Formats: sequence, C-alpha cells, structure tokens
Amino acid sequence: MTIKKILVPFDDSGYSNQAFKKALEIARQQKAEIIVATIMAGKYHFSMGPSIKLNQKIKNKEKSFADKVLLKLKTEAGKKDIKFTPIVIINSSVEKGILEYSKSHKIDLIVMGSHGRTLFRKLVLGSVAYGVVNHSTCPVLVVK
Amino acid sequence: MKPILVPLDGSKNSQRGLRKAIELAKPENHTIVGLHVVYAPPGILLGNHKIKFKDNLVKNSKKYFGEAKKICEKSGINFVEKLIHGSDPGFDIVNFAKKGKYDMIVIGARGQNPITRILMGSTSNYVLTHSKNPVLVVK
Repeated sequence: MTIKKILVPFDDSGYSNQAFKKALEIARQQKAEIIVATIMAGKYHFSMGPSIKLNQKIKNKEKSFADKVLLKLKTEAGKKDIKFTPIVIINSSVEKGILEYSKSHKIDLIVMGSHGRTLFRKLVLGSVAYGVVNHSTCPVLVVK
Repeated sequence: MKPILVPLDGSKNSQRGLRKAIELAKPENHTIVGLHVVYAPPGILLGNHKIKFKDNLVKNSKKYFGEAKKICEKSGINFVEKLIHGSDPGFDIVNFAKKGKYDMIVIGARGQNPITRILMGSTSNYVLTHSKNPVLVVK
C-alpha cells in the first residue's frame, strides 16, 4: 500500500501551485511519480455565439496555455530528480475528468488545492475540490 | 520536522487513516500526534450519571490510544497521545490544530456515526472546510 503515483490536478492558480509544492515534497520522501493533469473543459460557451471557428480558436489557446504551464512545472520537478508526467485531459466536466483518470490509472494519492480559479473566496471549499473529495476512492490531500 | 495530526475515534476508518499517516511519516521520521475528543451528548445525562459516562469514554480512549501506539511502534515511529474534553469534535480538532504547527491532518472519511451523509462524515467535512492546515481525507 505504498504511494507510487501522485496525481496533481493543475490550473495555475495560487492554491494549485501550493498543492504542487506539497506534492513535490511528498514525492521526494516516498520516491513517487508525479502526474500533473490539466483538464480542458472544452464546453460550449454562451458568449461565443454559434461560431465553430471561434470555439476552435479558444480551444487552441487553452491548449497552448496548458503546454506552457506544464513545461514550467517540468523544469521545477527536474531540478529535484522527480519523475514527472504531464497530461492533458479533455472532459466536459473537470471533476469527472479527474475522477475517471484516477480510477483508470490506479492513482494512490490526489493532491489538490482547495480553491481554483473562481473568485468565490467566501466558499469554504471550491466546487471541484468538494466533488473530488466526496466521490474519489483514493485518499485526497486538500492543500489550503 | 513538523508532526502529523491524526484524530482517532476507534472506528475502522480512523485506523486506516493512521496507517496512511505512518506511511507518510516513515521516510522523514515525523512524529504522529493522536488526538481523541471526549464529548458527552448534551441534555439527557445529568449529575453523577454524566461523570460516570465521561469516565467510561476516557477509559475507551485509552484503548484506542493503546492500539494506535502498538501500530506506530511496529514501524518505529514516535506516537504522542492527546486527550481533550470538548463539545463538538470537529470544532475541537480544528482549534487544537491551530495551536500547534502540524504538517497535515490525516482524517478518515467516515467516523463512528453511520447515519449522517453517505459520502463523508460530518466531522471530517467540518475539519476539511475549516482548518488552515492541509487535510488528507482517507477513504
């Protein structure tokens, strides 16, 4: 029952950066592998109007952003000699994307920030974090 | 090294939490602080009965601590036991964690109460939302 695979859902917010730091610490101690996942919820947005072209444009923008962020993290993990796998999950629901991946790839621990990008600081726990904690079958470390 | 706080209530889930905590504590030799909250339900019991009831709870907590200590000693990790008297376990755990510096809180998803929510217990939910330390929820 040792920890070998740590999943870090990442969205480049302050909380998830904190979570990544904590995950690095644990991975160094346990000699585990870190999997950083960015979830692209390529959902149809009302403000876009009926334009497929614009939809594609936004998707491409998201993809390039994800690649850039993951590259930054990779160098950080490389400095500490920790095995690092970046992945991009495409799922309409962020929560479902995380849960499905953790189930199919036998993740031992999920480390995630308590809040994400939405600015509802008053909420005691972010919606995605809440959903993952409630529904996941593996242990979840929520970093504040 | 900062210690890891593990609230114990004698349930199976909290023991699973303790095992996970040991696993995390092993490589860097963190100390594990076991915490048990003794609380009597309000109302019903008065006077002498209440004192007897509380004594019984304290006796029970010694049993939990004994078990936890045995598990910790097997893997060679320091175990410190803390017993507090309180009214609401969630609130007391968060307050206790505020006073000391802890690396993280490891808590089982469900405790003793089988009838609250199916997914998460009320105490673990309270600790998860209110504590300032990282919280590991073990299923």
